Amino acid sequence: MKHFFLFIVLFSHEAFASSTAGQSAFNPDISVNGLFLDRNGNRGNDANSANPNGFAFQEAEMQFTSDIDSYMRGNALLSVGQTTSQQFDITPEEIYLESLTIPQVTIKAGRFKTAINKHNMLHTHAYPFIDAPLANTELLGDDLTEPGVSAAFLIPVSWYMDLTVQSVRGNNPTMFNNSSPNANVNLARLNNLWDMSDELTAEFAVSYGQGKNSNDMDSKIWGSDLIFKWRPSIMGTYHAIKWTTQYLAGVKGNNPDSEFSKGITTFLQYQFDQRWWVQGRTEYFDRLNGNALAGPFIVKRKSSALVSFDPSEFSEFRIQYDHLRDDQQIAEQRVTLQMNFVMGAHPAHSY
Amino acid sequence: MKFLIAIILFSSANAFAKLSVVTTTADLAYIAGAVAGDKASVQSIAKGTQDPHFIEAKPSFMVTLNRADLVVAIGLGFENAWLDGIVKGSRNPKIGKGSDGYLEVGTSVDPIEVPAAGFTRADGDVHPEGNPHITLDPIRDGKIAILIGDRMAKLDSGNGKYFQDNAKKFQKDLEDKTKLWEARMKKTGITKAITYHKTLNYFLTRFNVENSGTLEPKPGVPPTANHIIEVINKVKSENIKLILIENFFDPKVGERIKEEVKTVLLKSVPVSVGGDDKIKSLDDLFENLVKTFEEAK
Repeated sequence: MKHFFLFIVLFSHEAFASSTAGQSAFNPDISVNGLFLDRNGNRGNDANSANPNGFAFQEAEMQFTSDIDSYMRGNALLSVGQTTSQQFDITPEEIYLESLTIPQVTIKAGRFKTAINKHNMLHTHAYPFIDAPLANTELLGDDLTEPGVSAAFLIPVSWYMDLTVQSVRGNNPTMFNNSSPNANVNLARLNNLWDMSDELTAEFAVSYGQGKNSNDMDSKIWGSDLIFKWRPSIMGTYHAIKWTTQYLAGVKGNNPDSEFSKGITTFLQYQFDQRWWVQGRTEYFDRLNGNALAGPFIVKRKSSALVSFDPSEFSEFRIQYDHLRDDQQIAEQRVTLQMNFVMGAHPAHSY
Repeated sequence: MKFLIAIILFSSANAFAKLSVVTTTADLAYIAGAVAGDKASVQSIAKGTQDPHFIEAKPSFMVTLNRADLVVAIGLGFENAWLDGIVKGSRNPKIGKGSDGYLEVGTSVDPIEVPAAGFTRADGDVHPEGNPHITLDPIRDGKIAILIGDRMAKLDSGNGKYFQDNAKKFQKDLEDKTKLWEARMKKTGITKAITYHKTLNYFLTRFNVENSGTLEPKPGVPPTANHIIEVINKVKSENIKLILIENFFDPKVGERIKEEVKTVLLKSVPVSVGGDDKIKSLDDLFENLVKTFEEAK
């Protein structure tokens, strides 16, 4: 009897050990990004400022990635943000499944960042500058992240050509916020990349999206990205240059006058040593209503400069200066410090 | 729908063409090329002049992989920063991880420097499964040829014997040459060397040379002034005659040591096929390294 119990205890222990060891192999890759800021600007002392002076918790992103089965991969990214001085919330920024076994196409379903432009597909920690481009912020609020389905086709031509079509439920507070069921936003993006040489690439993308807004009228949004990247084949870890220009525009249907907004952003990034980058950006945004003769009622011009020190692939310290001209008499000037780090098995960023 | 069908049909149209092999590094491409002969096409993603840890996941690589029948990678975390993204972006189910079209050779050739438990990222860019620079050992290169030959035979059974025979011949050839290189390395009398990164440890281990230290204080961490002073002291105290700097790293830091220790030979060396214009094969690569030791004796 004693032996019987001993056998059961040993056997169950063995089974448990192998079970836990086996199970851990199926755990998703997990990573946590932390983003902290210190802002100082001439408008930051206003109690209602969107960018108050002082230390701030910008965001934490928790990412889980794993194959679900032989056919699909799962990706979940939860964002922790600060709502008020003492309150935080968790947002399911992206949670989706992707197909693994269908030739030429990747099907995606869930909540995801839509392909309306290159910037909209980036997570906060991967932004080229500390903040988003003016056009993205003004047209889309934070971003256009919605539940829906997506199909990305690799078109069989000699260069890289990707056609992505998406249909999502519009919940965006600025452009696509119709309350009726099935008020979907339909989007398409055609992206091309050419190897100009082993060291230089040129990327050009166009995109278009359309859906209903809160006025029960159509909102339309369109944009383009043009990106040149140069990295030498010899000593390539020490130097690189990237030049990005994006245009984003949209019409929000309204009665009697629709709003037309457009913005352009161009920025240059130069890696001058293994761990150092220096960057410059200039932007323009305006919005007008149907009465074009009256001219735009919002005009913003912004210039930014940034220096980044990256101790490793997993940490980054950046300082950014912004100069914003808008409808106020005195331009906004702001200096922001950012600390950005990642723990765990973070998946590689896209090119 | 017709559009989707057209794309899928196009993708399978070359089902009867010769095998298309894509490797992650230029060394693997050289080995795969020797095995393939004229019965398969081979191309590499990384160039010999590039540090393979930091290849950018260019979408044009997705196009290359979209048409591949076999991807050959080192594994051991070597290509973690970029390979998964381009395999996924290739939308080619034939080369997904776990399929016959995906081969990682690193774990099958007895990797060295597998870290003990308890390491963290504070220890630098440590590879949990061992040092991934396996192709710097000619004997392991022979074993890699056998692995590639077997996998190509599985994918193209009609040419299977041809691939496997080529692999055996390649392995035998490298084993014979290794004996000659061993004799020449022994004759130099050099038993210690310093490198920038741990790239050359397989080569050094094969030829009984101790890597006395690296210019990086930890893997992936650029040299610091304090660490270089420690290296200078080590070079002096241990009478080290040779510092090898892999030629994708900045050699300036080595010059600082050379100023302090005039007797040491400081050499920037290619560490991959295609690492410079003269290195067109693995034979050239190892021959150049052996000659560097002969120069330093």
